Amino acid sequence: MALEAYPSVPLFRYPYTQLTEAQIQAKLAPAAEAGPTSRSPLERDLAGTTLRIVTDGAGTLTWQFGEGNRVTFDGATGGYGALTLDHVTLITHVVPSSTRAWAIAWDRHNNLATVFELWWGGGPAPHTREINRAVWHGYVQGGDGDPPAERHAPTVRMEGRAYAWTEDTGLRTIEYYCSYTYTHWVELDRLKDNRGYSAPADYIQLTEDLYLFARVEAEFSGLLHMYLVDSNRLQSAGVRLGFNGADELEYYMFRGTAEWLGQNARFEKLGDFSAEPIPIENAKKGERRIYRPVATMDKMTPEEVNAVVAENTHVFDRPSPMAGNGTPPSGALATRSFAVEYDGGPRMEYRFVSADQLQWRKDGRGDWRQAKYNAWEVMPGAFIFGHLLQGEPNHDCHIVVADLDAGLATNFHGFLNTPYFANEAGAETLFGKIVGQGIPDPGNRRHQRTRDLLGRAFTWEYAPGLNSMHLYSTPNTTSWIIPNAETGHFGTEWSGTGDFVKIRDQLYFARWCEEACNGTLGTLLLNMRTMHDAGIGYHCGKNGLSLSAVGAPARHAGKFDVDRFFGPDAWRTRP
Amino acid sequence: MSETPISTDRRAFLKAGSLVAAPLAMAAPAAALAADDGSRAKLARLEDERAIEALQRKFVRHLNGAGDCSEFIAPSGSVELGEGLRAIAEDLRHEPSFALSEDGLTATARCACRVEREIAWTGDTTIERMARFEGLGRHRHQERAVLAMDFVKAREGWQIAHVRLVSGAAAT
Repeated sequence: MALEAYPSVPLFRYPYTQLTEAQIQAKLAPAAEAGPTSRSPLERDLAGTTLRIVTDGAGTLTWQFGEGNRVTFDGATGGYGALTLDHVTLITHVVPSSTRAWAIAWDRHNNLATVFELWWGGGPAPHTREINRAVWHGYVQGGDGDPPAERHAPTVRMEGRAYAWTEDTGLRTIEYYCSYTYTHWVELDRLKDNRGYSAPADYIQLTEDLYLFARVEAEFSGLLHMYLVDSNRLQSAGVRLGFNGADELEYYMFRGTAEWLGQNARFEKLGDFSAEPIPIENAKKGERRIYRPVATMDKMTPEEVNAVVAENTHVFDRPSPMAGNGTPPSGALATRSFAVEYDGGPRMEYRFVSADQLQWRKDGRGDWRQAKYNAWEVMPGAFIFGHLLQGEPNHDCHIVVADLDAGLATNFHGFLNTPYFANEAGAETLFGKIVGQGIPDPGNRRHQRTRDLLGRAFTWEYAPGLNSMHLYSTPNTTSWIIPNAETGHFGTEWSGTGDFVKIRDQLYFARWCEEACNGTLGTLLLNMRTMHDAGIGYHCGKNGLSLSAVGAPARHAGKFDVDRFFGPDAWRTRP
Repeated sequence: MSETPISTDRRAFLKAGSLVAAPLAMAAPAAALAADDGSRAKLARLEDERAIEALQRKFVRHLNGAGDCSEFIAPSGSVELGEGLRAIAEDLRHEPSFALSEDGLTATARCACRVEREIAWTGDTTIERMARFEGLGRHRHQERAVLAMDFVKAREGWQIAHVRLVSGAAAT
């Protein structure tokens, strides 16, 4: 595959080069000498200044700024860049002949400072191209007064916000800050697939309205994207540092302006503003919890999938942790018979012989096959049911929402043997009509894709201690965020392909695919009138193939106004 | 409080051997009871009620202490206390209810309580994996429940025939 700076495939599919430290140092050398570029004028008023920053944890660090953009740090002189947002200056430079760099946020009013120590190689990141960071808080030494007791600090105050940024580069990014340790961003220009991605982030509060934000695009390019945020003026000043998909160094500073997109609810206990991440025992410098799902997921061949399916298939036969607060299955389909005719898809005939057994036949061919199913009537007359299609080569499942009052059905057709990992579920969305006694003929009407969920976030309380939040961040992305059940802090976040169908007013059928991340196809039928869902998970791993229940009460965390950023075909995805 | 979850599988309660711990109101001959003015029968029922209450308390006390509760369970008895039980505490805001059968040979009790459970997320669902990744692979929580017990009077005295915890909406 030819290298692409901003890949045309999903980032989780792109084979990023494993750069070596030597390659990185060589690529950094010109930037260490010249400093960052910038469309906006960089500042030069630091000439003649010596900045001695006393940090909590990294000692006293000294930068001497010379004429032009020269800075000397630790005996090495190179180029730096600086931009000031209101009264906070962001300074950055790469240390010559090294794989190290620094970024400093200096509050010129109170002399508090936060220093990001940056490096490639040597860990804790497992990929050398992924930038490491350690965050040091402190103050600029000067004068005879007592050193300040205050410090900048991690914050939850940005959690729940979202902005649409436009940089002076012209590049536009939606950034959803749904967590206190992660972020979710959508590149609107450099990436073409309208997808959102999730990455670890730092949120540092500088003043009541100024923040320092930094994401590391871990598991992807490994780039650092850092900026000061003025939340009242909706402005930023930042730096981007690292290697894109073409292994080109990006090192530039920027100014940006934002549109405020909304504010979702936070779920920490009222009065709890704590923001220290859950500690890691014996943590290395800069170590934090970075979710690396492709490393931990089962990765199986088609032969291994066939073997495990033959030996270990579970269909609604054991308790599901994702349905501890679910509603019981419905037996109301028992004894009913109907067919679903999918546009461009199969004609599925069904005989529901009991509350959990059905018979199906595809396209009128062959014998009827028996399958276990579960169904939930989420709104009167509107059911979600799912079953495996035993004998199909890709171990397919049909997860169907059937509106018997409207004669309409939609199927999230799941299958295995996708090109990347055979046990990873793929999905397609099929629209159709139901043909059966007493069921109205909808004619050409079909369920439709919807943007009613776009920009919304819901929490899901699956079982005591097992909760998540969904953010439907783009027309083809579902993101999920995991909270600390004790404190309500939302932390690790990830995302995958989503699709969203309106069944009725306030009744939506949604799915997410955990690509390169455990491989599950998750589905849910959300009733916003009862604020509860019922859904089905389809998963294959070394422990077998399973269809299992999903169900939880929901809370509506909020809605961001993002519809205008996505074109009419933005739901389309590439694999 | 014990740091290990209370073993609630039926086998743990049904160790062979000992049975009765509750004081036994000796079954008096029916003719003798009928011969008096009824006060002996009333006394016997009162003693039965006290025995059952004592048995229930002792059962809960043993459970919270991770003690062996098998001595209180009838040989054919069943125990359904759910996963990860760590402690049961009677909810004193609610009066427990007891009902002794007419023949004095069986009884039921319902007692509102607070239950503490600890669940370990050991599965391979993504949400469990992420919970473990966050260092949140175990979760301890409290819930309201009703401790519903059926008792049977055996030759050796009162025993628990069936005990279960009814959680959530079903508990109200």
